[in-house]
Amino acid sequence: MTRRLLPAVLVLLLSGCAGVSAGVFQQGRSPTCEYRGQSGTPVVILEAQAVPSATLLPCINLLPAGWSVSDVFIQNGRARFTLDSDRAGPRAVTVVLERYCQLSRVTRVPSDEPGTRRYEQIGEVRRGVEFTATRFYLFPGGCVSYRFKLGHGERAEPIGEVTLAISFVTRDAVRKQVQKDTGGRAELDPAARRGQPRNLA
Amino acid sequence: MVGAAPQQPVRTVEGPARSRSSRISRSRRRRRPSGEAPPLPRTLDTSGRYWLAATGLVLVLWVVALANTRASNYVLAFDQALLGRIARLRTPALTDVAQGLHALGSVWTARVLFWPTMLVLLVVRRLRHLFVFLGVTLLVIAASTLMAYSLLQPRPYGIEILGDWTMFADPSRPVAVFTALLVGTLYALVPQGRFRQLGKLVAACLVIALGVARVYLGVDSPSDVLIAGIIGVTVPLVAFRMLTPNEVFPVTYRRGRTAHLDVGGRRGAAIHRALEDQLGITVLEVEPFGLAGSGGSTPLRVCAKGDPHIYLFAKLYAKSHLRADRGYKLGRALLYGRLEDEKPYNTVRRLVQQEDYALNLLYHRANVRSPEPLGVVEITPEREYLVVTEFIEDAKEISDVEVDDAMIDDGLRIIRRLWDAGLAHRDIKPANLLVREGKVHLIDVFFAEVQPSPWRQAVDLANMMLVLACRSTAERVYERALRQFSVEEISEAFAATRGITMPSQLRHMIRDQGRDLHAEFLRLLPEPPARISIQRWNLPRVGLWAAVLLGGLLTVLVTIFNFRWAGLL
Repeated sequence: MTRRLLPAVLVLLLSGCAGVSAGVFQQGRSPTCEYRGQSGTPVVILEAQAVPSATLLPCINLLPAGWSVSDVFIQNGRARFTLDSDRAGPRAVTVVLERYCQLSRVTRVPSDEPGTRRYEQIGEVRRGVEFTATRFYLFPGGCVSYRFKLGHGERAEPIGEVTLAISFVTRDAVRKQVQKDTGGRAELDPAARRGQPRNLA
Repeated sequence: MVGAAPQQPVRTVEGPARSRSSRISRSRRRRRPSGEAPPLPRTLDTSGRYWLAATGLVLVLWVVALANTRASNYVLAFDQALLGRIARLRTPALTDVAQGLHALGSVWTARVLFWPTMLVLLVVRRLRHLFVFLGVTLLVIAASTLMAYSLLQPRPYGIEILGDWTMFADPSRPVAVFTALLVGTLYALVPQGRFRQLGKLVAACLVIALGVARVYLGVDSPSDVLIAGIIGVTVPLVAFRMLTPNEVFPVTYRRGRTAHLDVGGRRGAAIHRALEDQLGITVLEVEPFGLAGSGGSTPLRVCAKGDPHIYLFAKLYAKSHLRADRGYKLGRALLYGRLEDEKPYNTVRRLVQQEDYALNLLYHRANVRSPEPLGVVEITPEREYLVVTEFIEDAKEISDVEVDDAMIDDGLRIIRRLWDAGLAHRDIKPANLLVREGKVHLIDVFFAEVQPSPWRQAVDLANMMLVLACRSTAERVYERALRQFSVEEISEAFAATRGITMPSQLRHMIRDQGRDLHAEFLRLLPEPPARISIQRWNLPRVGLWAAVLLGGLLTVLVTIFNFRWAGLL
């Protein structure tokens, strides 16, 4: 009985685990700005490939205690990762990189990231209701949004922590890293795109 | 058993019809030397071995690439060179074609291939193929995803990517899944032969088209596609060849019970050879026989060379029958509790040993008129065996003949002899009682048990009386039964017997006659017996129910989770 069931159970669990393991792998392979002295990780390179026009790429600078990266998902045209917090709740912040952002009813505020324009869109602010807000960073060739969905309790502290945790790495730095990693055999971008002037989104 | 028979039981000294097997022309038996393949070996075939070797190579290369940056750079240089050349061939028209072909790797294509295949397998009740197909699909998705998350290979560098993509590139998950689905569908649905070969050719063309399109569009590097293709072919190929070998589980669309195995082709030849080598029988013909009345094995009629030629009966047992037996016993344990020792068998060998032993007990020890056992024949070690017995020629099922007093005595004597020998048949039904020249023969001892519970022996008696009464009257059978059994014994038999303890064939037969034979027998008894409960609720049974329900729920949840995660839902 055991011998017959084992393969079936293994297949089911392995395939099930793949979903879970993918999450574990993602946590270990998060979009870190600097990893062992290198600019960006494979995830950041993939971000660059997802939005080839983006001159800046969102990444994790330093994760504060209680925060973790989950659900990294990158596809052509869009890169997304989420941060979970043991206080603000799971998926407290979703960071999305795209070519363009839809901005409506936003307020421009001074940007804390060089080379970007920052906009804020605040959702409902009421006691006992989940706090939602979106922050946009616009820069040449791309746009990054931070979608906050904070549970009950303190709001200012998690937002402050996220602001410090997430930063940007330049495309040029990633490009140089790819050149270095591949021993000059490959370039991040096609020849036609390299050095192309980019407009602010 | 309670009490003793009031009258001297009718005991005859005649034994079972003596050996007719002496008519068989026997040659010298041949012992298979060590190292020689069994009659029907389980093989992967040459192409399967190549694919397995290729997968091994891929895994080695994968580990090397993971551990060594230099090695991965060589692969990168190859990929870049090839991609550069392909990129120079790009034209708007070619790009349109490539983008069309790229859709072959989409989730929708996977769904279109996956669900209809599952549905067809479900409709034709080829559950083994269904589970293997489901397993390989999920396994390929899981393996390619895990590999991609381990290798962390970005999309091709230095080339404009013209198609849709998701996450890491190596191995190319869409190519692996598409290939696995095509190969799986072919092995699950298309019968072996020309059509499957043709299908492989078409599948190869489609996979190559998808791979070339993805490389052309710059979505994948050539090595990503290559590795994905190898995984996509090997996993289903090896799984289907190992778990559903064609000679054991052929893909056919003929009607028939799933328990019945095909006895043509390689298996047919193996049966011939095995019978000749192991029993010294020269086989002239092997054909399925009485399939309608058998669900737990594949019954065969073997024409053996003799003077004159003689028919033998053989039951082919395989792992599928072992599983069916386990399922049956689990079902019984859930429905009735563990009334007696009904442990499932561990291996097919154990199962056939039991049947052969039971046949010998019945024929030799119990002196019951039953087929003479001729031996067990190995077809594939631990997987397939034949139990060979005498074939009772010119016999009719008891339900097809008028039952007279002599036959009633004969049938009841069988039960008395089983009791005396400490045996229970446990499947007394019309199909297992054959009549030849006015004598009742008991066949099919699959469920027979040594030193069974008294309850089980009592049920045998009641079922025999019910079978006999179907073709006569309850009064007559009761009156004849009193010559061999006491009133207490008969009362116990009917106290223990009710619908679920009767084989379904007997139950249907009584229902079709519009009679309530059980009630008729109860009325004949001096006083109605206290009913013997067969629904035994105890802690193990409650635990078993809980485990089965929990297991079922978990399986459903994990399967749904896997489907959703794999994009198949």
